[in-house]
Amino acid sequence: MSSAIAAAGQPATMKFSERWRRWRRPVARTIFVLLTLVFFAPVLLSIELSFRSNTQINIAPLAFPRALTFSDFSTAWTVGSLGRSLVWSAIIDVVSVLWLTIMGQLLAYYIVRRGNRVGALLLMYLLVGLAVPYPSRLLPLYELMLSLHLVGNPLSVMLFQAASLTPLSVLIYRSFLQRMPIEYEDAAYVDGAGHFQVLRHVVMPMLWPSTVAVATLTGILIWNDFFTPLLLVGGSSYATVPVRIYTFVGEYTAQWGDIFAGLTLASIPVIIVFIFLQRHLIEGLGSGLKG
Amino acid sequence: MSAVLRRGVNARRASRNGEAPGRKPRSVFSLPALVMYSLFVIYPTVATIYYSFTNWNGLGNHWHFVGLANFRAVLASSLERTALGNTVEATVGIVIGANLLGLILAVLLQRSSRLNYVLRLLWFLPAALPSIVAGYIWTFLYSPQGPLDAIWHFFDPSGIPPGFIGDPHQALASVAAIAIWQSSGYAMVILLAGLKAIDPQLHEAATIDGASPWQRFRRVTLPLLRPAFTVSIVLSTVSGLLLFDAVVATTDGGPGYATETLATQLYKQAFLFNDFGFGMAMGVLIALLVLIVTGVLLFTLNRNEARS
Repeated sequence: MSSAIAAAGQPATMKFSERWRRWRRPVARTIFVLLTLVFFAPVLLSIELSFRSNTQINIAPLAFPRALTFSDFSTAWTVGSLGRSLVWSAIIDVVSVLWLTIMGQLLAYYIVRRGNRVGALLLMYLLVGLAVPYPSRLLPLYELMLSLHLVGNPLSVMLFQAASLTPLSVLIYRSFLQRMPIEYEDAAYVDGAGHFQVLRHVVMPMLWPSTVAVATLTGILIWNDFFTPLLLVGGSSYATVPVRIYTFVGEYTAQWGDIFAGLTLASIPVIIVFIFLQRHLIEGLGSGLKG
Repeated sequence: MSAVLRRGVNARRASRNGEAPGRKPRSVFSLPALVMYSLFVIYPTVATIYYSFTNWNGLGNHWHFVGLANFRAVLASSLERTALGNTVEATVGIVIGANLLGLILAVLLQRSSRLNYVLRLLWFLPAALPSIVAGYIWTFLYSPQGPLDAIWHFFDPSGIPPGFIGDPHQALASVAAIAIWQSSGYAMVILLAGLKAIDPQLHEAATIDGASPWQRFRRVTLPLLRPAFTVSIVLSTVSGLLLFDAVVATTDGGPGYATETLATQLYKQAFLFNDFGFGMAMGVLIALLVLIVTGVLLFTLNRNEARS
């Protein structure tokens, strides 16, 4: 369509560009697909390595696998007790995200519809949390969790994640809300709906695409977070997957097969979630940016 | 439908004139998030500022004020100046590398097709991995007699392969490469979103006016991509200034101090050497640095946005 217009608009340059166009696509595509494979190779390699025995890896790191073994996985699963941490990582993740999306919507709605000075002030207040690097507030946080008797309890990680990702979720919800016509809410109010009804039946359903975007983004961030869970539930049996891998690596120095089995187990949930929600994530961020 | 909308418009006008109070959302909506945020984010932040003026070691119950001594110690330390230099160097590399790669990827993959869907997935995947996982993968790739050495020997059997994270001159770049590997996917997703937001009619109009593909990219796509660029540049800058996980999983600051960053130093000073006041002063200074840099970035990028 657009190329037809281009040809009609520029008859003089048509021949050269036409010839170039015919070859450009397939050549560029091929090069690009190859580059993608190079970029992706480390992930592929680490999955492949987790099916090889440790000695095979040490002898020839890039050799084609002769026999696939699952012994690395069973080591990671049993000795590294990754099975248990996968479950707890999932529970912590889901609860934090649920908490975060509900609270984030409420606060963003309040900020946007309240408008003017109060909204701007609250937004500035939230930006503090985004701007201050998290390691610098970690020890006072640890002391706080100690005094609440929550250290070693998965609830501490949930509270921390939900609180520290609040600014991000509010920013995403806010950009959606700003473009959402207020007329729908006004119409609902005129028809006699109360605040909570408007929120529940008008605002939240319209915010659903951004909720998917927020949940995907924060879900991945929480799953991958390492340092705070290490501090809060590190020694306990509620350790999340990255924390468990860190201690696992410390215990089994240079047993690359077992380590990579652990890395693969840790990555599979993220990969699955991302495969199914990629479109939502990109669309969500996209409509978020329009505002 | 239009009747409902008109009623809504009337209601809006009415509320603007203050005739219908109670249309504003209840402040109770803001409470759950604000209480939790204040308790678990703002309180520790304020406490950090407070402790940065004390000699607390992070454990005991007694401390006293030492004024600006911690800040003076940080600013006088040559190790912290090295860490600052490393951090700035890595950040510049990460911001340029990730955003340039992200832009190229976003432009090449913007059309929706089955192949592009798969390619986008593959380019974003490193960003979705836990960074500790990425760090260990690359530790293996960089290791002596590891895969990268094997590739080097394949092309140059007699040559000496680079030392990567083992070589003081290459370590910082090698660690920054891991961060670029991970963050270019994020830049791509943000820029893809920005591209989707551009009205295709603008491109058609430019094409009708006889603009070449390069001109369309330069004069239509790039200027309209600015809001997305602002977001991805600011995000990658902050992630660069706080570079931590990739360092911990690979070099832990070495060899020597070649890959010490501000974040690793803060962690070591506060949690390993128990010089909590020093670490907290670093925390305050890093926060100031992040605030100033992002402020300047937002100001200049937004001003350009307004002009174009």
